[in-house]
Amino acid sequence: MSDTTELIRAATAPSSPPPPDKVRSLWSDAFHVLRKRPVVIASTVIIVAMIAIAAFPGLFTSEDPEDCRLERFFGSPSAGHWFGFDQFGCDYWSMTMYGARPSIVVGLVTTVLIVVVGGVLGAIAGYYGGIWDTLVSRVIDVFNAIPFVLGAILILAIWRSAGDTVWPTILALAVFGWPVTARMLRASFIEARGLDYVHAARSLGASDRRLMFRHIFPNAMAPMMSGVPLMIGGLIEAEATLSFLGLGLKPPAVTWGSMISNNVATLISGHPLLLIAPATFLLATTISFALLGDAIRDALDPKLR
Amino acid sequence: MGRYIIRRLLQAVLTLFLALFLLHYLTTLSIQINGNPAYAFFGAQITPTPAQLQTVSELYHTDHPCLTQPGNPCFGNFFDTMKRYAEGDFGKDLRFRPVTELVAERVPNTLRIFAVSTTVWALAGIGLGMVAAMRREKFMDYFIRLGTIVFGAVPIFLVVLGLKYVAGVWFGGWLRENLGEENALSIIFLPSFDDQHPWLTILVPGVALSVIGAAGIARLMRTSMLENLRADFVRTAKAKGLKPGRVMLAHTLRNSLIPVITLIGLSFGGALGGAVITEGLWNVRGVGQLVFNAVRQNDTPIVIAVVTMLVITFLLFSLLVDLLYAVLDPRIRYE
Amino acid sequence: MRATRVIALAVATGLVLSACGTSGDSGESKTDGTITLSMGTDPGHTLPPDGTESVSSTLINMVYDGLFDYDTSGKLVPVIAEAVPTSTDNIHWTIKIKSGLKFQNGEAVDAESFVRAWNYGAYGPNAMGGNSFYSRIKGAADMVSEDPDGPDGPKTAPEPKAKELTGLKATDATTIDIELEKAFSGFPTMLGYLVFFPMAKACLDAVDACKEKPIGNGPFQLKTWDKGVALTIERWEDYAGTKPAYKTLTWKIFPDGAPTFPDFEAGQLDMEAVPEENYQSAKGTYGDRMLEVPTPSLSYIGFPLYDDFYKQKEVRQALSLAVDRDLLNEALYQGRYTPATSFSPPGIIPGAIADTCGYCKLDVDKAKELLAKLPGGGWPEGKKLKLWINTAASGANEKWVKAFGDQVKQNLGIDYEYELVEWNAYLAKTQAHEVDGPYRLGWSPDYALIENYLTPVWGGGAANNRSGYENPEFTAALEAGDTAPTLDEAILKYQEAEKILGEDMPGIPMFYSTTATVVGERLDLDSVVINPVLGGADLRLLKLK
Repeated sequence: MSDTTELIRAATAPSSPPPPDKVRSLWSDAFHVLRKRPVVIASTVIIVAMIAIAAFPGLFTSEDPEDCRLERFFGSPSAGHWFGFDQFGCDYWSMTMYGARPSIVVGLVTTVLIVVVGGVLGAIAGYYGGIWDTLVSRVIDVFNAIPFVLGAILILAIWRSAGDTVWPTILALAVFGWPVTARMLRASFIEARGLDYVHAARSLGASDRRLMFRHIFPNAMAPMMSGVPLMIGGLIEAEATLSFLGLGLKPPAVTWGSMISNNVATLISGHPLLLIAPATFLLATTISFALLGDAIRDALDPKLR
Repeated sequence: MGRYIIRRLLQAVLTLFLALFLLHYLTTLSIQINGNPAYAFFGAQITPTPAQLQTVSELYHTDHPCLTQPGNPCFGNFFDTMKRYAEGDFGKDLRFRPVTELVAERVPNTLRIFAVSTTVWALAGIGLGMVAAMRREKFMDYFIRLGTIVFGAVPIFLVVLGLKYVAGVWFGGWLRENLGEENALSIIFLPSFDDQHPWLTILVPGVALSVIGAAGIARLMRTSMLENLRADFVRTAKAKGLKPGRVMLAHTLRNSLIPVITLIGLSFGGALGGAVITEGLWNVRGVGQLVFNAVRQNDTPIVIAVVTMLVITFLLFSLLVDLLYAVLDPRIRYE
Repeated sequence: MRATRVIALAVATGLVLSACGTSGDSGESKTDGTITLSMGTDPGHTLPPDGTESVSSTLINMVYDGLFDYDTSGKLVPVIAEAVPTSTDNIHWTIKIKSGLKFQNGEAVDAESFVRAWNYGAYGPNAMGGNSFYSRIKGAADMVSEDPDGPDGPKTAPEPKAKELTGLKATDATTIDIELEKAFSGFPTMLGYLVFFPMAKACLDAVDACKEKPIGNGPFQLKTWDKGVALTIERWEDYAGTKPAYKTLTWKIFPDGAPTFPDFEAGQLDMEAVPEENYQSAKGTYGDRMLEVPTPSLSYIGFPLYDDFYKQKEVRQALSLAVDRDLLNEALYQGRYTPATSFSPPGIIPGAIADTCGYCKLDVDKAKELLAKLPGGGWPEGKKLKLWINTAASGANEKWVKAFGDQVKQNLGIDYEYELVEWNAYLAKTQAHEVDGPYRLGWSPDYALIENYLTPVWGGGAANNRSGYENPEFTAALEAGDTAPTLDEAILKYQEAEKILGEDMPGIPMFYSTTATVVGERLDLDSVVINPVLGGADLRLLKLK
């Protein structure tokens, strides 16, 4: 939804980007504003912590999440086992730590894919126009005709048995996620193409590549980049939803999404921590990304300052 | 104008063709990799004889030899499928019910849930966005923005499951005890959809569904308002001495709504994704529930058929909108 | 049976017997009242020869009457038949039926109505789900034909040689003569199953219409069917048997995955299956209004005996010995299920006894001993135990397979991995002997005889069962059971056959599930009689308070 917001903004509210020499100051200005805001500090700390957990889960727990001993089923929290044990007697704190990785990886890698694929295609279409634009626009139309979540459900329903890797989920989300970014960047490029400084650079003999990367890209980036944290948060959320539908990662892989959906019922059966723990980590992450993204967007939006 | 319309039509045909081929290819791969859906018809306790399997395969149109060769795009099959689509045959589910029939009987409820969620979502989003803009950088502004963002970041299935117990069982139970079973309020807070009261019982899931996009729309409204509050025409109006209330309503609000309305139109795709979960968990017999069930019962051809129908609808709809724009909007010249 | 049947296994048979009542009809007298139940999906196979899947069978059992019924102990009770038939050679059977009975459209229920229904079901091209049940009758093989190049090939199967079973005749209006291919002493027991119910001529003349509105001969007739929403049946006032004590029964459709228990808790439902997570609280809240009944649904792990590694008996026995079934039952099912010590459910299905399986208990030392006998002196280094499971969205099956794998890992130090396969492919692959590791499956009985747990699952020779199990002794024991002069003698033979399974371990029986059902205040608790063989409450007997 927030992607759509971006799209609308790109399409309906053409802004006049600042001249190129002020780009750096726009970003540094933004940084200046941002680093003082408590919301930003708090969400950054949480995000950094979550990424650290995802990168090195072993640093945060010495237990093996796959060492499940049935006799410990629903064991209560204790000193070495902060979240107790789940129904299979697996250490829940260590599951929560190891479960961070797939969620964060899905969020980050999918975003990179979307930004790169959508960005490059959008840039090509917007800059060169003509046949390139027509081609890319048609492809965008085709993928855009299939709603994002439904498309992902469809792909994962087909590749359901793909096993315990994150790739099917990442691909499914990326395949139907890139058109929005591509459209946004295409619009930015078309807009920038006609601007004075681009004409000036071209008349000075700048090459296409130089024009694209040195002059237009930095300006077109701003609206796209400010959407990135929101996108990451949204994708982590989408992964959890797909897991809930039974379409996410397969066991024995553990993700926050699957931990939540496997333990939704424990809220009633008297082991609420099994739901609350992964839900808290998931929500802390998605909310932090959303708040950070919102703050960055505010800071980068020249019209609101 | 004529040329534009022809070009737009050709474009639509091409897009439709490509999108249908994409879906066809996904279906084909699914059968090539996952096996003949006819097996699901028989289940684990029956070993079908080849003849039985053949009969069922023919009914599902999964008897084409190219469906056993992974990677083969099955062009021949594609044209057969297109022919069937053209005749209005979108296949059958595992119980031999035509998908068209399944979808048709479910459209009203999906429209209902969309009507509720869009109304709530648009009104709440616009209202909150307006308040936030007018109280810019004040407590209410922060509160609204934080609140909508936090709500928007909660996965929809948690919202729906939470509501099921909080609103349906606990609060609803209290209402039914104190107001009686037949009271409208008691019915609204039932824990699942009831076909006898389609409008009342769809309110709660409708509100749940609207949570998805509230943050986006509130934000857009706020930004849009802020831009307009500073726009020249608003300043002029103020300078002319118009009453603040009139300026707000006639000038600022009206102009701020334009991008918001575009967003509402564009959000149906996203809402459909949320409807799969909401309808599935609230037992609303809608198109989303059809997908939810098909996913749970491994009836992949149904998922594909429903998505195909949505794609066709979506493309026809956007074609219509574009053509209407071309006819109605004097500013658009496409030559 | 069908996909839904197995999905239903996951939630146990609860969905079928769950019931709920609306409360708007308090003005009516109780015999004219309405009971509302929930149903997992629309019935899709409403013709008796096709009704092998649980939801459809629930409807068929209300709308149709058969030759026999099963009582709660699984014994055969004549309904339309005059008596349980006997046979001197177990090949020729003669069944006398009561005269004067009618279908709901006025047609007579005569011998011909059975013959026509069975012929319809046995004819391959009709693709009836119960097709294989007629295969014991003479001439059944000629009613199905082989596709020359398999189901995926371009050629279509030729028309079968015959359209009628040669071994089936209606000699007069009340006599059915049956000749079997081979002797089978348990044959009458099969006849209580709904694929042997009669069909009216009008039904076969317009099959599609009859699927939408069954022409039954039972105590209820279909009134309205709003697909995906509700299905209502009403008492048939001309029914000759015991009339039900209520008038209308509505099934509200709650597709699998949509929670129903909140609706019960909200007072909307009178009877409902208790989901596992609600079990503890429901037990406290509802006390004796919660009924717990063991079901005959067996969950088991099958071995691919066509695989060289699993051909080794020791491997199969050791894996079974490594699992603490009681602990698994405690951890996963609050100790409510019955850990399996046999291949058929004792106490529910006639002939089934406990402790036929010598390796269905935890004995880690013995398991290690057995593994040490393997050629390499133990489980091959680095070989992972590959567990095949289907991708069930509900996760109920994945759950116990995970616990099984964890136990093997913990007790024998063997690491495991999953091979997840989509349901269609899973069925196809297990059938085609393409899986290379233990696979998960379940089995629910079609008719109340121990034989139903043996022949269809493990018998018939290596090509015919999913495991590829074949042991001449086992086949001989089954044969001896089939040809035994009386059912009691036959059962003894079947039990011997089961003991052979218990030594060979072509699969690991894990547990029999138990359902918990809560009964709401509107229903008379005493009228809720759960028939384990039917897999749920006998809905015909329900009474309103």
